Amino acid sequence: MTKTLIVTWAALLTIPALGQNQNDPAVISEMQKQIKDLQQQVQTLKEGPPRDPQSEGLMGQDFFKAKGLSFGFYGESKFRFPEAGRNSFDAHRYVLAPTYQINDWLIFNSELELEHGGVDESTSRGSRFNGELELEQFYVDILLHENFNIRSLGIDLVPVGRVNTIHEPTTFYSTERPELYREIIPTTWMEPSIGAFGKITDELDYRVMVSVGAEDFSSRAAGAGFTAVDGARNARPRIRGEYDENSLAYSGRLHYHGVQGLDTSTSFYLTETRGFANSRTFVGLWDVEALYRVRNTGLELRGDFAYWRIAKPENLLANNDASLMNNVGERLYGWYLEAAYHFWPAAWKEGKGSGMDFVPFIRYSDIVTQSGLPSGTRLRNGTTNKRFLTLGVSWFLNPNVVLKADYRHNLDGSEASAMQGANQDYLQLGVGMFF
Amino acid sequence: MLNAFKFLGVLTLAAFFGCCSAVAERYLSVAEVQRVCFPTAEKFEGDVIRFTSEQKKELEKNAGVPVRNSGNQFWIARSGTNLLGVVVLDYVMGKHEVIDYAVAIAPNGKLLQIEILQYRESHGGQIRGTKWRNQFQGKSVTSPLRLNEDIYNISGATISCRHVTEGVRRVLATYDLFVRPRLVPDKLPDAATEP
Repeated sequence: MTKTLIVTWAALLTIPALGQNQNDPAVISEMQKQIKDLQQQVQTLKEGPPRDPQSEGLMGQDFFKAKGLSFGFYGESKFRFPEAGRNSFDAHRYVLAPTYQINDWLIFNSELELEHGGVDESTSRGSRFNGELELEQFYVDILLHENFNIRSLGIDLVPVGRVNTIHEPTTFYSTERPELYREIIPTTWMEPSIGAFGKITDELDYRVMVSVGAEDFSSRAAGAGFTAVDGARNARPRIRGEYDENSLAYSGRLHYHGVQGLDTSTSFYLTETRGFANSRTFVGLWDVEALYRVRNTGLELRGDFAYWRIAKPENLLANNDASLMNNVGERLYGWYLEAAYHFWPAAWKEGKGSGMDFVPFIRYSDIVTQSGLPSGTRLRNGTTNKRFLTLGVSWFLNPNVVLKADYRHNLDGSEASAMQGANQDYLQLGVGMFF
Repeated sequence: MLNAFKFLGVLTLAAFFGCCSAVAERYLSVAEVQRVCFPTAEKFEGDVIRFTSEQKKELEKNAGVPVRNSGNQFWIARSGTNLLGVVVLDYVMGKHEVIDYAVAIAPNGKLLQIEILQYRESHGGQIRGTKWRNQFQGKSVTSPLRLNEDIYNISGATISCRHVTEGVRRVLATYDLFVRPRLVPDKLPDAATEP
């Protein structure tokens, strides 16, 4: 309607002008001005008001300048007082996450991780550091449609479980990642891969991935991938290998957040792995987990269950070596339940306390890496099947920085477990950052 | 042994989809946001608020968040002489990139809805879901507007959730302190005292 009025108005303005001297510069100038005005009005009707050219300037001089490569960061340091052995400091993770929005549908993401303080050349007194330099993520997201986007060939996290995909230290409360995410879901678990992701509904999204599969036998490394003590931890494939020994692995995750306070997912991983003397077996992992924040209280509950099924455990290397103590059965599984309470009264949320949170927590974990053994001896010394009780507190100075302290007790502990960092009791202090 | 054909097949499939449908997601324009938020409005009067340093301090105190912007662009929606509300355009940082969003506020200071105009990252886009955004309806400058308290978080989108929540708190405080007084002749009701 308004457009019609404008066109009519333009015609009425133009007709009298035609009757005048069309070469009159004043008339021509006036007509040009009127046409320009009309164009602007039509444009406004069509597209709405333009954003103030200075609107972006309103956000501060540097706000929009991050158009090149930008960096995210997370990191964590720890000091451990173990039940056996020496106290130790560990600059566990220092992770730079460069990202670049190439255009509005191509986004580069990556993570470069320096672990345990770094690496250096050995000197006459040995290396000062005992760390690693890792490319944890490295891919381009090709955004096609909100329902279907492609994650390019590169390195990405296997989309299994919560903590493998979201593992920044401000997203969990213990100084170490939950025990389930060591032997059962071997975080940080990243593999050469290609994938896709998108949303199914506003509350349900998915990720799928095809990657290099789990590795039991490797001609480039001694020892077995699947073992009783380390579970699936050493089955993570070699990132730079020649993949003539690995099958493809297929994995995926469904993530649901449609119920207020509840965030839950289920995920799977399936591959065929080569074991002893070229024999093979299918291995599959299934995980289901949930986080529930009870509304109007500080209570937060988390639970996670992960289950490996090994079709032919007798084909695995660990079940065909000289040791009967490291044998793996047809199942590896684990679960944990955690309760945390966010204790920081609204009255304290002022000044430096405005972003603070104080979160005591307790977690019970059960890890089973020997179940359904085809042969061999089941270890009962807290290094394979084991239960942990972890108590601690996280003090968030703001949402990006957390100070942590916890005590972990191996309920099946023994002298053997005390000597292993992954299984020992300890008191640990930590600091985590994510921004 | 790795099946090279399988791998090439996956790559080809990916390339096929990439070539066929390489279209960026469509985001809302300011005009679309205006129409969505105030469908009965007959006109929108654009204006800009620019903070003085004193106003910035006052805003920080009221919003409880650092104020990095030096102002906001907004539009007053009217139907005839009736004041319907205000649409405020704002920006916050996601994890790495800027999120453009708009907040529609009723004359009494209660939030009507928020709309995401542009989200530029591949992580955290779940904040565009209506369920998450609908939590903000009815909030006002007196609401806590804190993640995991009155606004629930989405795992994997925590930074975006937090920054938008803080941004909305700042925008509502901006409205209350600086925009609302400009509308005084319209005799505005008070959100805090409304039933």
